[in-house]
Amino acid sequence: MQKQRVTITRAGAASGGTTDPDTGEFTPGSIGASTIWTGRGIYLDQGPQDRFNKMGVAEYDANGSVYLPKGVIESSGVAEGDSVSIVYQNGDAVDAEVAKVIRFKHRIDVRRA
Amino acid sequence: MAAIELDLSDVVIDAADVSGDIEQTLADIAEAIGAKTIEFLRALTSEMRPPVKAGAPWRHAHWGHWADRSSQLALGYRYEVNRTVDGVELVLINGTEYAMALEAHDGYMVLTGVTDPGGPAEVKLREAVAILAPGWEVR
Repeated sequence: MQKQRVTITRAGAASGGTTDPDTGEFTPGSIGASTIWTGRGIYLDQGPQDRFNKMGVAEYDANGSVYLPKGVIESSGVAEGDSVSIVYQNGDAVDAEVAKVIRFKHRIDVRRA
Repeated sequence: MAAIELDLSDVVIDAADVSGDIEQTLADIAEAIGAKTIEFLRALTSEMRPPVKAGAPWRHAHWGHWADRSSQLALGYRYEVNRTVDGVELVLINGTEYAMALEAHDGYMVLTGVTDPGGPAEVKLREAVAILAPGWEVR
């Protein structure tokens, strides 16, 4: 399995967002991908999988999705149907559409109005 | 998507149970909803899935149409009830790594449909707030 660090930038957004090469932390305006399966679309993980927050490394497989940690989603505002560009470390880029946002930690707040 | 068969009707919401600490009352209800929801998600249905290997028995599926191999996915369900600055939060979780890949496949669900907005857990909490704490909101 090939591994490569990637940055995902929303299509049309200003460029310049980066992912820290050591910590995997991202700068708002870009999205640090964690796992990418190239192909059909992008699946975004909003789950509590801290491991992915620390990886900042893409893992390629045959069939197609990108998983991103919750913090990335919240900062980027990426949602289903959005167009994004996947920018690889070597500068290559591909366009894709966010196919599905997957939640693995659902929070229901009850509070005084 | 399959109809949601999670029945929360036995989570009783009675205005007479409010003893003055509305946060505690809502936390108790959230606790009951969380426990029942996780019990439902871990339960097996009558749907059968193919065996893991040839010659092995067919397996009962969970609500999301997947069946156990190691049981780690089912055991990965959990809930939390937390008191917050503003009130109470109910958190429903499955942090199992495999859950992500499974949800990505069409036709399989791990939490989606049960715990997301408009699902039975949220609906029941809204019912509780409407009866017990009209000045509160669910979001």
